[in-house]
Amino acid sequence: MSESILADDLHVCLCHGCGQTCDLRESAHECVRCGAPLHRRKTNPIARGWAFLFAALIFYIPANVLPVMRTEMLGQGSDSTIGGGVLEFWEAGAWDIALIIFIASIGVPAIKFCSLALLLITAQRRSSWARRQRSQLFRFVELIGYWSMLDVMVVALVAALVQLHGLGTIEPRPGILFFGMVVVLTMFSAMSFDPRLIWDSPSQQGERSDGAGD
Amino acid sequence: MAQETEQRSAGQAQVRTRRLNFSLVWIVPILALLVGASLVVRNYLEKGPVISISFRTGEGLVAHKTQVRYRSVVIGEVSSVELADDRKSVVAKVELSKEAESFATQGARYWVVRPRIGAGGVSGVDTLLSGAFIGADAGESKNPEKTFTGLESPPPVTYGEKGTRFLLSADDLGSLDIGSSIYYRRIPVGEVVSYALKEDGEGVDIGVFVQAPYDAFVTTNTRFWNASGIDMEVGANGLKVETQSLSSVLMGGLAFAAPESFSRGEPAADQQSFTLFADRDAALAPPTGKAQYLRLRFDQSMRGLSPGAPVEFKGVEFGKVTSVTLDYDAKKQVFPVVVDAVIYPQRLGPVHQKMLQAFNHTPEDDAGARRLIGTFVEHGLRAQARSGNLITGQMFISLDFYPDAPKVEFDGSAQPIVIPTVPGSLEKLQEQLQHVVERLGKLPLESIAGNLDGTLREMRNTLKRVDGQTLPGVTATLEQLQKTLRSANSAIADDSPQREKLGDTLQELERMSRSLRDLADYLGRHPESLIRGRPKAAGAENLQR
Amino acid sequence: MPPLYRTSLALLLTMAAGCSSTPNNYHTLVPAQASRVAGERVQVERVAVPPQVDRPQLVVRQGDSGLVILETEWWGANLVDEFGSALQDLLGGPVGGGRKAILRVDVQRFDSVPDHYALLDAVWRLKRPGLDELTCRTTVQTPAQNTIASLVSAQQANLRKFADAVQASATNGSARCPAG
Repeated sequence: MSESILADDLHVCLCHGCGQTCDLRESAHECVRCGAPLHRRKTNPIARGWAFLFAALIFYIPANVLPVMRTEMLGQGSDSTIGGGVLEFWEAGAWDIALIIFIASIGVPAIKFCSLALLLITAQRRSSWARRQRSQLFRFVELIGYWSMLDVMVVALVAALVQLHGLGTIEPRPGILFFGMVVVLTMFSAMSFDPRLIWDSPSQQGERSDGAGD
Repeated sequence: MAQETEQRSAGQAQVRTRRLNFSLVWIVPILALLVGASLVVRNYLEKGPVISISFRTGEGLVAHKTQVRYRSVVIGEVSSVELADDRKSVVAKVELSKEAESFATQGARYWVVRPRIGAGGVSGVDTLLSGAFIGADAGESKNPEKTFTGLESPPPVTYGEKGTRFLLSADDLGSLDIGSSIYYRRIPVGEVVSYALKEDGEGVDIGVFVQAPYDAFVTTNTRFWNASGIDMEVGANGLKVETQSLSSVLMGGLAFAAPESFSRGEPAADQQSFTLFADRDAALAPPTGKAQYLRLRFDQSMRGLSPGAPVEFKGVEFGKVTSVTLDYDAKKQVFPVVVDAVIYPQRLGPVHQKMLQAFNHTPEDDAGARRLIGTFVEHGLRAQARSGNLITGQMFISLDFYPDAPKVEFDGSAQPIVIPTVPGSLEKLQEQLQHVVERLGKLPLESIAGNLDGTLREMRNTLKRVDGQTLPGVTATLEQLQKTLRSANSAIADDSPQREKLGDTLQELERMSRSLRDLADYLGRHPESLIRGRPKAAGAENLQR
Repeated sequence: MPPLYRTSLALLLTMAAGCSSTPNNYHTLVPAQASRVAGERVQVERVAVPPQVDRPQLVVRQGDSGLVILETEWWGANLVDEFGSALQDLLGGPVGGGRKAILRVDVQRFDSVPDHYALLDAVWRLKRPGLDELTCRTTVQTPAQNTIASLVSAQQANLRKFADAVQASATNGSARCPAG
């Protein structure tokens, strides 16, 4: 199959406001039809991706160390962390629930960290390894991204509903806040990564006219 | 990196890239780092001292759950519970909070609060629900200390309670225990904190603690007595029951008061000693004065007279019986009962003084006292055993004047003084019975019999009259009754409206029970219809032969 | 706790799945036209039907031993009450006190066989005023099609024949049972 023509060779760029193919030689910064600013690639995708990923990693530590929920029943209260909750369920024999919590709260964020790190590293080094698979990986990361919020939702719902003073009270604890931040930051990281970078070959350098980052 | 060259062409904007290739987005991870670091630092700063307490048993102690509380405020948490190296005790490591630094000092005490039923009552019941916790009491010293030995039971005096300690000495502990309450006018004002056998083994030293402000009522003249249990006395005076409170019945208690005849006195000093009396009367009894010893000989059975029975003079109690023994009189070949008693003439009150003045005696004059008694005996002073309580059969000794008693020789030099006796009230009873029997013999029995005969004849006539007149009336009434029954019958007859109504009601009941049965039957066939409604495919579309 | 939200989700789904229910069709044995038959006043005192059909739902036979309970085809009232009220209506309506005959019916068979027939077989006791009690047995059968409406109207026809037999006995006062 013959090589497809790249937009760079034709000096055109797609406007994401109206979809018009704009000639960069005529108007380099604005769409001729709708006036939206033209972006060849997202701004600073690598730097932003790394920044958000690092922040998420840093917040992941207190999310797992601090308790996420405080359960008080008949006067006895106990804080529970994510890992602690998984172990409790496992030891109590409910291995299916323990597995679900583990996947949703520990497995998914770990997968996202690894996948995003991989994408960012390979994009930074402009490698051409497994391009199609990397695109699939990126789509997968975006898909599972927001399912981790389920845990935050569960804690919020449960804390709002179980308020039977004295008999049983559930309160959220700072850990869940950090966990929510982790999910949000990984989502930002995925959002600021431009998947078109996967397909950029090393020869496409330098001709960009907006400050596409390092 | 290198700066971009600018591209100039007509109408195109100048693009300037930043000098610094530093995207502002890196502020996000830096902020995250700062937040994380501040958390770590805050956690580190907030850590309080870590102490270890050794207990005999780890019951109720759970790592990361059991808390340490002082006046119900949480000041720390148990972080681990382990066996000691010599396996003789359990060491609990406790992380105290920053504010509780003063608890990691010498003299601080720790104990486990569990549900406890003890001398002081039931305590710590709320720990059944919330789990045991460790109670703490700060010490007075400021020297830091990291290792403590936990107490096995809560200390009786905690939290710097104000009050005074006293020492009581008693013959035995009675039913007292550590924690038994002390009452003043039935209000609990303190408790027993310690007890120990005296060194020579001749008694018990009891340490008590009376709280402020009640300790001001303990004066030099105060008497303490053992108010445990129920003081029940069955004596010639009847049944007497006295108790301080339910808890003193169950767990023993002490009480104190100042006798009325004394002035209040000075407040007692710390650790002052007192004697513990056996009961209230012994404690508050007025002084008894000099004792006199009597001996009485009775010729009849003294069943019901026991040592401790009161000796009265004209109804005023002023002594008691000390012993009841048998003697053998060889001359008359009988066994008289010898009763020894002790009397306290001063207990008679002011009359004692008057008598002394009238006869010019001093209380110590023994010979004079004997002469006095001899005079009384000549005038008829006798001792008699009387029944104090017909139900219990308890007897007491009564001294009184009997002018027509036979004269008796008085031996003034006998030791103890012998007072002659007169027979008891039981003999009197026998005499009375005899009187009754004689009276019975004098009744006119023949005339009574004759009267009875006449009365019987009269009765027979009356009966004949009844037969003739009253019976027909009764028969008429019975007929009326039958008529009423018949009309009632017709009301329940076939065609009556009542019968119809009854039939309707029964029909309704039948319908209702039938509906219930149908419902149960339907639910039996389609239990899912409760949730999912009637099954769809059960219609008539597929009728076939 | 995660198990709490899991159970509540399951519960919600189940409730949502089954909140509909098929409407019922109702049938009656009382004929549309009232037939005021002249004759003796008869009061239907008591009706008993066999327990297999004694339910609000219609029951049809299938084969030799099969029964189908039609869950969405119901009698207007319990079959006992339907039978009693229809019979009373056919016998001239309810009667009050006074001179009247009392009728007690024990239905032995109330078969509805689709595409074949509807069968009514009953033992009845009639107590006429001034006469001895009459005990008889009547069997009536009407052909029917393979539809519910046809079965019901066949049973209605059965009832009419039954009521005629009873009325005849009540009026003529004979001590012999009517034929059938």
